[in-house]
Amino acid sequence: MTDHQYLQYMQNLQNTQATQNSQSAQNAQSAPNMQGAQNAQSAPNMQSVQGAQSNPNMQSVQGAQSNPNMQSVQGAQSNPNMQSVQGAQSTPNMQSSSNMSNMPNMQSNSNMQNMQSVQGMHSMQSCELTVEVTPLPAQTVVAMAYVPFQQFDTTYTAEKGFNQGTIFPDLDKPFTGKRGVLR
Amino acid sequence: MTDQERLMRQINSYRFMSWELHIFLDTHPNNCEAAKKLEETRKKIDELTKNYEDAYGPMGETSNQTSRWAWITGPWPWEIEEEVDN
Repeated sequence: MTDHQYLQYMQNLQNTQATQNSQSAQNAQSAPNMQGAQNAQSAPNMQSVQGAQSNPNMQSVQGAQSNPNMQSVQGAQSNPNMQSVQGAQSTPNMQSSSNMSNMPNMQSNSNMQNMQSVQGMHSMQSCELTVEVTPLPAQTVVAMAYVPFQQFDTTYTAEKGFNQGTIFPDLDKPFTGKRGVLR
Repeated sequence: MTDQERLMRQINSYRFMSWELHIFLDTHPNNCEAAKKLEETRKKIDELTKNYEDAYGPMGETSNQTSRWAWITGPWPWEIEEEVDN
């Protein structure tokens, strides 16, 4: 997958997210006590909206969007498309109106779309998409087992990793036991 | 291990590293640190591949500096004599 395809993929994901959020936001207006509405307001726990707590992939994607999501919830009331596209850039503090006037070369709507995908590429390279995903959820449930989510740390050198079968020291678990005891 | 084998092993190591980072990014799609590392690793692979090809000839049919058939003129795996380790 090229960088561009990846970016498109992320934007699609986030657009979907924004749509879901706008639904949540509407719920918030009509029925303040619904579960979805509460989550939409407190963004960090978005996972539970989709019941995807046990799926690390879902978590990472959703976690990655927690800030932009807040925006798209706000945006859902005024201008959903704009906000969701900005969400894709992961520039949390961007306000559509003020920023448009700041950005050079921005004349038409289609032009803006191009600009934003270019900026999206740029932000990916300058690492603004990085979002911490904690090893374990902030709230854990009794009687459920959790596997800590792998964090990016130092890696072995290529040669060492090739020998060990993994470049991640965290995952380097050579088998040293025999019949329950260390050899 | 000859220089050629050593270089080949180094290339394989970096290829393995890029694959490891690739599958890491499958589950951590927003991790830029890993993405950066992958970028560096790919550059390194290109560099080493170039070194190898300059010295020992094309590595595969996708190589820049080969004709369609040149790359298979080298010894086939069963034609390479290796010490038997028993």
